[in-house]
Amino acid sequence: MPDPTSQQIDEFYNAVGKRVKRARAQANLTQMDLSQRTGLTRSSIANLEAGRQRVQAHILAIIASNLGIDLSDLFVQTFPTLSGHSLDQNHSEDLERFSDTALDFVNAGLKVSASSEKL
Amino acid sequence: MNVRSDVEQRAQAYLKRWGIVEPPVDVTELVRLEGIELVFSRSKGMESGFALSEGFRRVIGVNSLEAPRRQRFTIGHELGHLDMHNERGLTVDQSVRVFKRDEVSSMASDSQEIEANAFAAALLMPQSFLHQIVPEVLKTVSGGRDQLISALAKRFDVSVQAMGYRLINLGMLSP
Repeated sequence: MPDPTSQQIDEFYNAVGKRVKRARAQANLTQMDLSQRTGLTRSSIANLEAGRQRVQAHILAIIASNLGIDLSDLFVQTFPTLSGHSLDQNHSEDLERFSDTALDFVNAGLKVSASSEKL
Repeated sequence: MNVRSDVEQRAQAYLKRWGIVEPPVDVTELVRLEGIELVFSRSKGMESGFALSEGFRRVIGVNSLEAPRRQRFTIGHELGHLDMHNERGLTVDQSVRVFKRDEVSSMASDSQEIEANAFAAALLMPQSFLHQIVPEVLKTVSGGRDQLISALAKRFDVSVQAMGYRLINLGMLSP
């Protein structure tokens, strides 16, 4: 598996930040409330939620326990576009099941995903 | 019966996790929050969408030539595959399916398609939302059942057909 680009890492922390924000809003807490509960500054919570900060694992654990959620709820289960931009060989035996138009469709979609990354 | 309520609960878990409490359900945002890549591409064939699960990577593809409300349903359907049928790797869905009765695996595949459709319906048209909104809409709609279905379809941003099936499946409408 190739190393992620820094943009992919940014996207990862962005998604983690969004999850923190949603979970905080669902718990009906302001950034200030969460700051008081966790001892983190309000601005570091704001930075983390906006994905501007590559948050450390123990900070997420503190936040999760204060919000009464599982730590795993804050993690994104995927690392987008790590394994290349078209179907790889692992699927090749599998691919015989599909028609040519179906495969064109999938590969076109994966190409779109690769080009939107560069924006 | 149990299978169906399991699918309903799986769909509800997503709404709960992201605090979605009213229609229309923003499936695009929901899928992105889940860390799933969402891509749109054109297909000249009958393909409506695909779901790819490869290691830690999950991708949903949507045929952008289809109507927007169909695309929303497709996203829900593909999320259902990723949630429930993770072992499949790649799934490509056709908007019209030809049933190949001679294939040993076709029965399993058929039931997975039915499950994915049920998941999409439960995600886009949750029973609790409908119970709340149907009485509201009934007050404002003049006309018969077609007008009701169409007003609800608009409110939930789904096709009239999808809404019709959902109401019948929930026993809220006679077939």
